Amino acid sequence: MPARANLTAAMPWIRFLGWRAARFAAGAAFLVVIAFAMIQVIPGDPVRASLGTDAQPQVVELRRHELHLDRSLPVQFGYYVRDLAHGDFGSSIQTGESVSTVIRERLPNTAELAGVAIAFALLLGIPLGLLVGAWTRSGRRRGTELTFALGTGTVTAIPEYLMGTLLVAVFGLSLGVLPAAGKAGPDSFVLPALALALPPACFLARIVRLETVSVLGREYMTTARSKQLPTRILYLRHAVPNIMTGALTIAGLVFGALLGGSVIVENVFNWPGIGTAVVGAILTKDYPIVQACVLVLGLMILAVSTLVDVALVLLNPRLASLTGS
Amino acid sequence: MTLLLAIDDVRVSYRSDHGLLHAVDGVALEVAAGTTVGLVGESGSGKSTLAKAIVGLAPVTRGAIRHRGVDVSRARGVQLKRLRQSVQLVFQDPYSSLNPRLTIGQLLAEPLIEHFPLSRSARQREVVQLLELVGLSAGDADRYPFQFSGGQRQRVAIARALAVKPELVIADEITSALDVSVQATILNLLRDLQRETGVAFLFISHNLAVVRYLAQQIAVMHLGQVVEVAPAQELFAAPRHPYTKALVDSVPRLHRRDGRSARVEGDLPDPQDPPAGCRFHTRCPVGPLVDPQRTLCLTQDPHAGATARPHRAACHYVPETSEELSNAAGDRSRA
Amino acid sequence: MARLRTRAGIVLGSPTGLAAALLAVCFVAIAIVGPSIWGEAAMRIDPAGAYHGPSGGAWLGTDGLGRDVLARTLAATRLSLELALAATAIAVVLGVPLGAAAGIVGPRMQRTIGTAISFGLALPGMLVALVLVTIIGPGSLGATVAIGVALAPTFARTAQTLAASIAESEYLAAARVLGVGRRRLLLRYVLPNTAEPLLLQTGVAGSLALVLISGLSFLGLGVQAPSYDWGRVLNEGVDALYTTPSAALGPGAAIVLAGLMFTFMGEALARSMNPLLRIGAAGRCSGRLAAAAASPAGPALDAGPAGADLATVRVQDLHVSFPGGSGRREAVAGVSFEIRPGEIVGVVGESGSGKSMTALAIAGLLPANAQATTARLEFQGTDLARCSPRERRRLLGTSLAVIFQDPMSSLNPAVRVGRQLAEKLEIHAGMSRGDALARAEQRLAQTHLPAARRRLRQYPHEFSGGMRQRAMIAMGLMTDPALIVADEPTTALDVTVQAQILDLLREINRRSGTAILFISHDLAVVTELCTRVLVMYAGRIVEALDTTALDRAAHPYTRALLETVVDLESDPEQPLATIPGRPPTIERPAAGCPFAPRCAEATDHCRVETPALVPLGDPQHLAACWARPAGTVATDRAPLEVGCE
Repeated sequence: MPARANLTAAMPWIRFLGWRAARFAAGAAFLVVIAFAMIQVIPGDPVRASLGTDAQPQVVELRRHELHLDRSLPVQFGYYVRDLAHGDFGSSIQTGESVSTVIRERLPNTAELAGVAIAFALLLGIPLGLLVGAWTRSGRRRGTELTFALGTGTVTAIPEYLMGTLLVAVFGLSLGVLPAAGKAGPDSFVLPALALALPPACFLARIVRLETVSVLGREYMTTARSKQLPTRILYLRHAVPNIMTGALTIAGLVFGALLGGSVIVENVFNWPGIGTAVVGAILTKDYPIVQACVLVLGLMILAVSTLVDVALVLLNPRLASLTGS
Repeated sequence: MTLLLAIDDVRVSYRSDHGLLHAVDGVALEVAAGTTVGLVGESGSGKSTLAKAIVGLAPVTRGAIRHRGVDVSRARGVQLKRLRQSVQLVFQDPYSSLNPRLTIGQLLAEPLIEHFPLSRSARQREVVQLLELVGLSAGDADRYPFQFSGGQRQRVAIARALAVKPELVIADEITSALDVSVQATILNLLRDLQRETGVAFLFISHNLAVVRYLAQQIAVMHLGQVVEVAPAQELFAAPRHPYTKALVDSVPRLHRRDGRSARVEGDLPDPQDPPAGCRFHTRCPVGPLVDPQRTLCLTQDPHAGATARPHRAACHYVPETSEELSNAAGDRSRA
Repeated sequence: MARLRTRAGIVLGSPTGLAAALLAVCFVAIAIVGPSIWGEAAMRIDPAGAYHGPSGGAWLGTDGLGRDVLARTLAATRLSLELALAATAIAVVLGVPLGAAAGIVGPRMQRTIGTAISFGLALPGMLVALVLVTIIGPGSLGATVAIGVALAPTFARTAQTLAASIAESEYLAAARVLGVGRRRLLLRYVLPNTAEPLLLQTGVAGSLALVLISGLSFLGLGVQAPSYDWGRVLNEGVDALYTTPSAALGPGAAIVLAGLMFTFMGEALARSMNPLLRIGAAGRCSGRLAAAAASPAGPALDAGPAGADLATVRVQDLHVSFPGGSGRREAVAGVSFEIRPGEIVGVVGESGSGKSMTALAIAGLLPANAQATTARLEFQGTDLARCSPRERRRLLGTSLAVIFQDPMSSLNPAVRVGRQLAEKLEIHAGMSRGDALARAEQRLAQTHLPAARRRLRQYPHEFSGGMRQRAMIAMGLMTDPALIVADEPTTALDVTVQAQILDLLREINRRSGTAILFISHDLAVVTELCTRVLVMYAGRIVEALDTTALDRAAHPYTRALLETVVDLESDPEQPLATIPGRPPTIERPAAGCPFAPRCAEATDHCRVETPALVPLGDPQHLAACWARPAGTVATDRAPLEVGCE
């Protein structure tokens, strides 16, 4: 009965994917509500707050009408959701420009930077953690362990904006080897991506090292050694899948923080992304832009978290049987 | 003999992802004052769940647990407190049943504070007495649990249970986590305690030899049901239920002459989905797997018809005549 | 009894704790006096002196408005620390009660709150902060509240996990059974056990709050002019980056140091709550090496019967040691024995007897920090100590199989069972995957595992304990080994399943002539299965005899063991025999015979000199006891490294 067997084998998968998709949808819905409610909760009139007390009444009225602020709450929400479905994020209070254009221009920049940073963090952090973990297991090489702990500990303690500033000061200004600001060609990615990626990479390395030491000490590794398997197979087939489960779980959280940190780093490096847009918008009280940026950033983070969960289950199918909680 | 505890057709059910799990499914048992009743079973038998239900840590979904005639299965408030003064429980793991942040003295004082109005000095005297009762010394009161070995911690747990001067102490696998030589000292302690204080024990274990040593009456559990109850000597001399026979036979022996006669086949069925009819029929060495004519085992649960004699067994094909009984006894003594 | 260390003593005793305390003192001092001493200099504007580098007047230079950066940094300490502490406080007050409640309410509420917390955790603090700053408006208040709310979910999650684990803990259940009231439960049981992780979390949160608030100020969304915190000073310093990088260094260093201070402080306070650490070094095992007596040599093995070369395993003078407090500790102290083809040899001993380490040493599976030396370790005629690593790997991989105690953890949860069985043949016999899997199916069926083909594709968590042990045995049988090393294989199993596994092992031995080295603490189990028994105590073999000769056991320890076994023949009327005292731990190696402190027949000689394992009349029966003498021929031992892993 191969066909039936395949279906029952796939059942936990289907259940899991369905559950995970539902969670994503729920999260997205929640974000939409938050983005909408954000404006409503602000005391006073958002338009007047943005344009200032000496703004022309006609302009104020126009903006208010554009934002449907003269309608009742449920109606406003209805408009909001409908517009979102069409990809319309409203218009800027300051300039009247379509927010969708702003997002369309800036989102790719943020996504690219975040993508490069995540890649850096993974490529630096995980192999480092694996290597040091293998070297320092069972209490060997205490010196290496100490150096590693101090080094990674120090770097994790440095916030991204400081890291960015330091990198700019050293590489951008004193040594002048890399561009200090703006987005222009692959060179310009290096410093901001490193600023974003180095602290998480070190954090990831620490966690991966702990996981590695723990996994290598487990009894099933002794069983695998008892079969006298070559070292390559021992690590790749037996150790790594188990290490990666713990590592990816943490990585998911780390990526979320990384995306949050991109807001600051973009400002340090004058990167034309969502981060610079949102900070500017908060300062000028241009709320539709803030709404849109928060929504977009939130969705990106949820998407990354979902991808990590799926990757985890791919790696360790046993997790699919657990009711995706 | 006073009947301390009467468990009457008790069922304990849990709701899980895959439906309803009846961890205990219709158990009847009695404990008389000053005696030791042994409860044996393997994993999934429900013996620990039953212990928890008696002291109110697990919900009784059907049936009654009577303490001196009064139904305490859903006791609350004052009634529960009174039950706790009479029935106590010692857990299996001596490493996790003692609060790591309290000293031994504080741990022993807890039940005293709750149940007896004593002055501080009287309490401390009582604590010392308890320590000496279980073979520890007064100086141990100021130390923390992690400073003691597993066997010593178990003594503390026993002392703590005895602090309220209970009539019945339930010992749930209390020697299973200990070294074999330490086990012997704990068992001797229990014997002495019963002799000195007259406390009754419900001794739960998967180790048949240990239960045989301590108990006067033994009940055997399998997948949530009691399959046999008998006085200790009789259970081993002439076990009736095929599961009991197989269990007794599986116990490793220092001097076994012949090979094993009764073998349990296969693995334990899923407790969530026990076999229909007799729950043991999928593994029974004399059941439908071996003798296809025994179809009754597939459809009817012998549990319902178990006769209420001093020695009762839930099996459709239990030897009834004295001839069969003596034959069985002969097999056993030759083994 | 050693006096307990004070909490302060523990905090200051560790390097991180000391560092935290020093930093805290400095920072608090600066925070208190800062504004009064440096406040004025911090606000003094001097347009002419703008963007100057470090000088005598301004150690870190000046910013765009000519203000002294160092003075500004120092004066900003109070506000920065205050805001960070306030945000942390908000996070704790919001998060902990919510999470704790989630841990103790009914299941439906629990799931709702749990999902909300998960969602809160999924969104990074920065995002939440941005939303709140938008609503409240940029400024100190906005930033503090924003970060406080952003950090609350982590506390909620920690509190929830803690509450749930404590609610499930056995000591809480025990307390409830004792009738301990709600209030006492909370104060004496729940709270003290939550202090450690929560303190740790608070330290981390403090550091995070500082970093995030400074970040917001850096962006211009936090503290607004004319107030200034480190973030703001850093913001102003970035403009000066091109001319005076030191302007960014000051506040940057302050942020990092203060962050570290919070983290270390949290760690140190958490450690001080741990009762384990309140016992000073004197209270724990001291680990002083007793004077080691010269270990006597084992019995001669070269003068064995003809055909001695056919022995499957021959061990002579095996020592295994581990690093310990001061020097190394011996887990195995000179063990010699042999296993003939088709023999089932049992090794019996209590915990700490070294029986497992002996088995692991033969299989080449000792942990990385173990050191083993031996005069001879022959497996099927090849000396494992002297052969090439490749030869060793080949030999052990094909002719040896190992089964461990805990079937739940000895199979890799992430690899399918079929793969785990097949790879042995794929590697060592060069078989294709298909052929190896076919053989695996065969072997599984041989262990009486039903539906073998389906089982190959499953993962270990789909097997029960007994089934996993069968899978382990099948895995060992894949290469038709000459020896199976079984380390307590049935200890974790039900007694009926144990009987099945023992029958299986016996069947394999009978059918294929595979030798078995069976390790157990249960003498009864060993006598059921094994033909020969080795009794170990404190790293040494104290007696070696055939199972049939057990009644004539000579060594006092063996006799004591026999008497303490509780089996179906024990007399319920008599108290059980016990052995006084406890087995020596690896920390305290004894001088002389290791059993002497507990032995009824011990003499002064026993306490001074360790007896050798010698044959007693019957060459198959050996014992190491001065009270059981016999003649012997000694051989010298030459230490050789046995490679491990």
